[in-house]
Amino acid sequence: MHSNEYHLTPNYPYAPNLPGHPNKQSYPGGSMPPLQLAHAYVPWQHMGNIFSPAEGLARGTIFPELLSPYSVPKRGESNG
Amino acid sequence: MDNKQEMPQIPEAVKPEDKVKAENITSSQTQMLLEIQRLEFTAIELNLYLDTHPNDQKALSLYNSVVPQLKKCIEAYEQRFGPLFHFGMSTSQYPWQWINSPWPWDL
Repeated sequence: MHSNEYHLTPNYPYAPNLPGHPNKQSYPGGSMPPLQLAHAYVPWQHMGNIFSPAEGLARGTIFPELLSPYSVPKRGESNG
Repeated sequence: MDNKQEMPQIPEAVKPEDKVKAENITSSQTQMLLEIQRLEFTAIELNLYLDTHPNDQKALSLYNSVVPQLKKCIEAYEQRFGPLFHFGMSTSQYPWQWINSPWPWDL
């Protein structure tokens, strides 16, 4: 698996302008490279520091860069 | 009319001898198990990282430093509480301990 080479489609416009749809950029800032549609991109992980075994088990990962727990709505709040 | 049906009472399924097994679990046993879980979790995480980053020197040395610690904790645990694994993975004192030490769900 090559590391971080994206499949760039030559002169691919930022977003296909479908008739009847407003001319919208697919990336808010437009700063992303015009990536191939329908491809999943996983940026390559570079390990930095890791959590201690105790903290890793408690948090569900030893990699701080991967930590992203779902926020649990407090009682009464609903994300309905 | 309160139509909330009565929650069915799940029968107390714990067999008497399981109760005995579960009771004599000391806190040091659970503490040692927890340490094993922590070290094993770290080893698994590093293993998964190394699968995609086999040339990461730091990850590999971290992994190689965790493995002996994990082994030491497992040996210490098994010495006192019996085998954690079977089918040739751990030895047992006399009499055969595998069937008597508490099962994970007894802990």
